[in-house]
Amino acid sequence: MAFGKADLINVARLARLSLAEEEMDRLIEDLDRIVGFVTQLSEVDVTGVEPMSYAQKQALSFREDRVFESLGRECVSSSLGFEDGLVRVPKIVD
Amino acid sequence: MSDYAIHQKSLLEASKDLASQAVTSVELTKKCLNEIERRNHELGAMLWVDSELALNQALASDQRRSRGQTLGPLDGIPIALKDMILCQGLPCTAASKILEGYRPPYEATVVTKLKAHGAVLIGKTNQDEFAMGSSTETSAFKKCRNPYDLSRTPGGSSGGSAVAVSASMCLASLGTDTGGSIRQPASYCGLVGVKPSYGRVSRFGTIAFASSLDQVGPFAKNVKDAALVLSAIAGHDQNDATSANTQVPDYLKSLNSDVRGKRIGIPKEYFSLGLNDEVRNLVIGAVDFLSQQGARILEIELPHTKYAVATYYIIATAEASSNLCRYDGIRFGPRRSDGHDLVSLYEHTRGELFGTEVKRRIMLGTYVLSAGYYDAYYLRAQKVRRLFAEDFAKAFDQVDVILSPTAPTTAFVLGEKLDDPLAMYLNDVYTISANLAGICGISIPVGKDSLGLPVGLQLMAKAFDEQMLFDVASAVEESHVK
Repeated sequence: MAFGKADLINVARLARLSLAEEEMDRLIEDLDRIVGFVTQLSEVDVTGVEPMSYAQKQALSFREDRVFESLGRECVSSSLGFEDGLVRVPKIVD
Repeated sequence: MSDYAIHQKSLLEASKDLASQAVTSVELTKKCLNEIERRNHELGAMLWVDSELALNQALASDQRRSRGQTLGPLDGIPIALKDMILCQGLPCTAASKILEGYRPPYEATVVTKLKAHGAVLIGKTNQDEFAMGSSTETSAFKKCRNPYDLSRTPGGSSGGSAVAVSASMCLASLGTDTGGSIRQPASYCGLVGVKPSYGRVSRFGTIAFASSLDQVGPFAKNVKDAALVLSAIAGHDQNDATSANTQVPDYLKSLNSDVRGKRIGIPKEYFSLGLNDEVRNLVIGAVDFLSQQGARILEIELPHTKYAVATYYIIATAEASSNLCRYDGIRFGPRRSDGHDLVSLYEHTRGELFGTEVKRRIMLGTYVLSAGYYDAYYLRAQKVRRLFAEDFAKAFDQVDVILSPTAPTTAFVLGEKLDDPLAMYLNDVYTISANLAGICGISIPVGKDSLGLPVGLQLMAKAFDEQMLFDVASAVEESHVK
């Protein structure tokens, strides 16, 4: 088995996903098949090949380095709103 | 103008009718809104429509026209947007519960550009949740159906954008294409769909799925309409560092369907096992036509094709797992919590509000990036990706354009692949490579199978050579229309 329950629990924790007990078996089955499928890349000879992270030969273009008007508070739509110029979030520590 | 025959009109024909005052933009927009009213309950193409907002834009267009200040051929034309694309005044949810009710405070550059051309933005279209799917079945809100056969999928992930054009709820639409999400639904719904080269169109204000693969592109009823819309939305944008500072041709003005001497590559790997015979025959028929018109047909090799799906699903899910971190119940949309602490708020919000396919892909992406697996999966996939790019570079030394089917079959039955994610992924086998290599692709209709379902033909050209796609596509289109 390429992907078991221990993997599922570990990955769900890393991805910050709570999973219902009833969806776990199905996810393990699916991910085990998919991980098994993508493992076929191990048969490709990649000796000396540079990884490609980006599909354009041109360098990224940067905008002019100057101050300009941007979005303010409205860029965050937190349903808890704003207070003293800060975004309100749920209580984090007691 | 209630008898205006919108089903028979292309975008350019409607544009001419606006120019000759045979119809107004308000009438055209009402016609589209009527089609939405009449058929959206069964087709499920549109998610969010604001009639008043659309009619106000249409009225403004008519007023510009009456003052002689029209903004060009798109002025007054109703266009729909995939729900990945932010547009002020309309919700933007990526068809996910995790963004339900979200209204963006700014808009995508492609929307700004369409507005600058006077287009009427009629609403947001249905899609797979966060564009993750090939059938629009993972939408959290609505089932979307193929207008040619309601028991079948329109394709995906931009299925709603395809159906909306096909059913004349708009005259063109925008979708996003990360692995075929414009080309495959265009193929299934008998439309033209374009995946522009990586960097051709700004993604600013478009919800990210896999940032090294995503592109925004048009759906239209024919090649000319698609060329017009792409010219309008393409170009450099200082708000998207990945958008290329490369001149955008006027694709429509430059259109030339003369294929004499053009070298057309047929990748043998794309015509092998799993390809439906009727699809093959229609595509080969188009190849024969191009040959008769003077094109040179050459067999080429894209030897890494069999690894495309595996490479794509590692890279796309890895990038998605990172991009979707921002949906945490704090910044956007609704939240769920069991009241314990911040981590449990994140976990419950994401666990309860993301759908099954999105969770599956976040899990796979997190796994292939995690300690101990990164080199074996993600890094290796990035290396294989370079081999794909090299395959295409070699091919484009020999040919001007690569021709293949868009998908191995015509539209499949709803539910058929929903419980089998691998079968769903394999449906994208012909379209994925263009995204991995960053090149451009187009799907154009080449006829129907014995069930009356549309068949699409894909053309791929080297990066930033969309003109080549439109030129050869218009030749194929002429053969088909005649």
